[in-house]
Amino acid sequence: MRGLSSKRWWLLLIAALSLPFGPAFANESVTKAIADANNWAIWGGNYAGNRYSSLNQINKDNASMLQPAWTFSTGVLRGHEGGPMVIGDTMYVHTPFPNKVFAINLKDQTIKWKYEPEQSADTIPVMCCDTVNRGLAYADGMIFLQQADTTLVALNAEDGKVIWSIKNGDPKKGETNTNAPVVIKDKIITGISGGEYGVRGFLAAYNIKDGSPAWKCFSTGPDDEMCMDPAKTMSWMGTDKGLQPVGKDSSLTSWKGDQWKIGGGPTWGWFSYDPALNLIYYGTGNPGTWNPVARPGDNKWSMAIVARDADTGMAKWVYQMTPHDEWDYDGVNEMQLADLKVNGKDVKALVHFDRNGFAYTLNRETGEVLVAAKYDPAVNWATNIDMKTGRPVVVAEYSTDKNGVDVNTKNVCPAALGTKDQQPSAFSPQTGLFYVPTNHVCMDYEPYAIDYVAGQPYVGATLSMFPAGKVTGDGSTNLGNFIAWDADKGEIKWSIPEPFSVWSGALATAGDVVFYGTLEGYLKAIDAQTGKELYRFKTPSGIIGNINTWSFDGKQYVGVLSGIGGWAGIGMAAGLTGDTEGLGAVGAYKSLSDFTQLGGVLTVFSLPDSAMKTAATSDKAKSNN
Amino acid sequence: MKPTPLLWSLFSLLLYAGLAAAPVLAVDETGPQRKALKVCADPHYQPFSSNDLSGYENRIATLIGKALNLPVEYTWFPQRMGFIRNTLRKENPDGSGYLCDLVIGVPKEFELATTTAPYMRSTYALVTAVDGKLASLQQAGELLSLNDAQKAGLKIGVTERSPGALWLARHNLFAQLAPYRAQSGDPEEFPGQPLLNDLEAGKIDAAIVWGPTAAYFVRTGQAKKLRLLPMVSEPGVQFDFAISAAVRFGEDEWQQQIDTILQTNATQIQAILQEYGIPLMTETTAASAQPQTQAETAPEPEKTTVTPYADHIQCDPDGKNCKIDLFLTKGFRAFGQCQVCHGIDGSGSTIAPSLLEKLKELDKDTFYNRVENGYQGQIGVMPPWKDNPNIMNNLDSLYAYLKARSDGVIPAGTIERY
Repeated sequence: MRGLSSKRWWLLLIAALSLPFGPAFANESVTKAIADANNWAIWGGNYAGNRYSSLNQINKDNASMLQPAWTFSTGVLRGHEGGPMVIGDTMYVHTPFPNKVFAINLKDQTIKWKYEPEQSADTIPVMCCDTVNRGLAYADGMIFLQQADTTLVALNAEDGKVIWSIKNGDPKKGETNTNAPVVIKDKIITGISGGEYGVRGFLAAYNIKDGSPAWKCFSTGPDDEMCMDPAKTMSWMGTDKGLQPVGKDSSLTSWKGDQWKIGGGPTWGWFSYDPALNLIYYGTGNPGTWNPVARPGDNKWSMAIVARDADTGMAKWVYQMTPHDEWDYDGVNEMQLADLKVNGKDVKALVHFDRNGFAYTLNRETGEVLVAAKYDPAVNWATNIDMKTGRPVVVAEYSTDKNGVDVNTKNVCPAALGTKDQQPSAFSPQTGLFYVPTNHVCMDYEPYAIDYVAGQPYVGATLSMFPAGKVTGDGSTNLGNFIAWDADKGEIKWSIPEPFSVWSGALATAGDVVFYGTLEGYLKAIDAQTGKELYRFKTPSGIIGNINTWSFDGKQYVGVLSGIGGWAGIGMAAGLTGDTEGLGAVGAYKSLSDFTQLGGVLTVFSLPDSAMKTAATSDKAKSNN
Repeated sequence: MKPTPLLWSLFSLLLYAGLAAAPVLAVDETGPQRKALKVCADPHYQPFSSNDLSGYENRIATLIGKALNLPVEYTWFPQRMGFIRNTLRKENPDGSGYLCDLVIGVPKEFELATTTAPYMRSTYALVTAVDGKLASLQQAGELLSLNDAQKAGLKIGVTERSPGALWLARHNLFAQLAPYRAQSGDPEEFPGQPLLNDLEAGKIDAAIVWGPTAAYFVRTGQAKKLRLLPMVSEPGVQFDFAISAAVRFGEDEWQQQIDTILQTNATQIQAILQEYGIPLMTETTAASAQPQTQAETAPEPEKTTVTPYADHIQCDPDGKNCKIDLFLTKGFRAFGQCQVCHGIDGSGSTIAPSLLEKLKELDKDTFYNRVENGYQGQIGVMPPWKDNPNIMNNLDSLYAYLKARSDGVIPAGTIERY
């Protein structure tokens, strides 16, 4: 009886779910898969990138009883970003280079099929920050993988056989891929990595039936190559000027000479989509590796949020967050699409937590910025975003440009890795809050370090990083916080200090539980309202992956890939033999290895049957009320 | 995951700040028994190194191997961002040590390794076609006095990180700046290859590249006869750099061994470099904007009654060119173990305070006590060293050395002995 009722209950739940943005213009197989909360069918849980699940079997009352249900070793040692994808009775797990894909039968956890591409090891030296991969996409019975060597491949979801395979870029030019692609209608959308190699960033769409190219739009350069209409593509210029057409050569005129040709603006982050508006949202990265002094101008459209038409790629609007970046605040972090009340009005909003330390709430139809506020009080490179002009008010003291290349610029917050890196936030429509994994780290910029790369010595700089508490003077030593954010007020609701940067993607659920992972390897479940910790479990390695949830055979599961690495892990690797030793384990290395070791493992959690009885009973009690 | 390439060395501090350091193992003063001279190099890196051993760094490695009476063994890896991490600092999977023990060419002031005394100083150079638009240039600096007509359509190739890019930008020659990538994704491409191709094809009129590369262009250019004009450093733009060999941090004995060999073989090395046509500068001709070191930041030496280093330092009458004796050298060696946490120059890190500051506050007894027994500080935990003979047998030297550093009497790094 209990089993039956719970099944019926799930069916009701599924039926109750509807697309977040009205009619299903998008690929029906994708929208159906997303609408079924038993699946985790896309990186963000939905097109809006909310990372929210309506499953509530695991709730704040029983989450303390969570326990590991099963585990799975990927056999790969490098940093594991992204998370497992679940469609029906099958889970699809991806790995970092060599980018294996496992299809796992959820019934008995046997491996249905395995795909391991042959990729030249030449790709490894080209990848800046460990050979991570952020996950897969699903549509029309196919699994899509964007490999490190830029090969985009469509696999048969049933047997893992390659249906088609195309090249999205050229590693010999420094182009690589780490992003999770997204399927929209009959196209698959992907980006490009390689800012360190002067790669000119672009967003590309390929037809899912055969991989043929549909459109490709660059981040910098002439208007047509950026798919920008000088008269129709809009940009918000602050409350004084409002929304204005970007005008002719908006990128070219913001660079000197031909510098835009290696102008960066890579697109290695997450892509969101609003089916009703038919717009794709994403961010662009830093303006190449130019010394900032040598690239005067705003360097458009690096460091920008872009909204593009999903059919044509044409840019509807664009907003540059960090003009003339001097600090490496890539703008690629996820775009959260949510319908919110902002300043008392209902708004189709886009909420973005940028590396530059400001959280932006925009009108996603128009690109108008409504709220821009620091989501870490330590942020100091700019006092605020001047809403009159739409530009950050840069503090001269923290500008390496203004100070000159030969002056120490101290105590800049955030550090180059940003108040938050790619690790995506979660949004709960139930609480109306955003749950954001953050860094709490500042840096000194010390010039006159002599660097050497590819046969060229040059005067560079050393960035030394330290806990933000050193700058704020509050005596804190934590390097990260997990915060709850009110996007209307632009306020932190509560904040959980973490000893290390929080480098995992968050998950929010209808059970009022929020999940995240830590670099030491803890999976943590907290109360969505209060942030109170409900459960923690030490997984085999540090977590830089995203927490996902799904349901199979009437039971809700939560899964996460642990496997330290990524930017964080390579920092460790570089620090391992750190400063002066070469003699063995010392200093930071020793400390790190005390906490965690490399190794990719998927850990899946669920409630014991006894706890589920409690859940069912309390549900019944609720419905009786 | 897109950090600037400059972050690596200090990133560990970020993530693991606030954690205690562990004691360093004792150094084996005689060094490991070597069966080969293990060198890491790029296999397609003309004129520096090549897997056919035709690069000048290969030739220098051969010299060193001969001096050590050891065969030279190579581990090949592309010289790109992450090179040191993937080579000199990478351990063999079987736990039998590191992939290699020596890298032949890095800047003297390189941050990721300990460097030897430099064996050459070269400079960036402007490479032009002998019969091209810039045929009349006598010196590279004359580029700045070209008139508008001469500048029209002129293209000068630079990579975006190089001093050449900075120099053109500072002189507002943006219209002439032809941008190239600093590093190629193609492991078989030698440094500057696209610039040479475009120079020969007439797509650019000049290229500003690092001296050895400039020499290689001139030596191997086929389609056009090329020549090079050295670039001259100016305030804010450094073109000339001293180049050293590199070993892992902490391997000071090994570094000194290589140092001695490089010095003993200086004449042969000079001959090799000249054979490759590399523009060389002597230290006196180098007009570089040198990094400001201690001189600017060092405080006035304190007037203390007892200076533990007083009888151990000899300087020129003007207080410059100080040398230290064996007593202080031992202190410097012992300090090698403090560097792990307190920074290469002792100025501190996120896990340990600046010793230069601390030595001003602490009296001798407190210092000795904290080294011996450890200390729970505000930033981190100082481990006890009482069981480490490398430290405890040299405590007086260490204290004297750090006091001298703290007082700004001697600079960071290796100091000559008298």
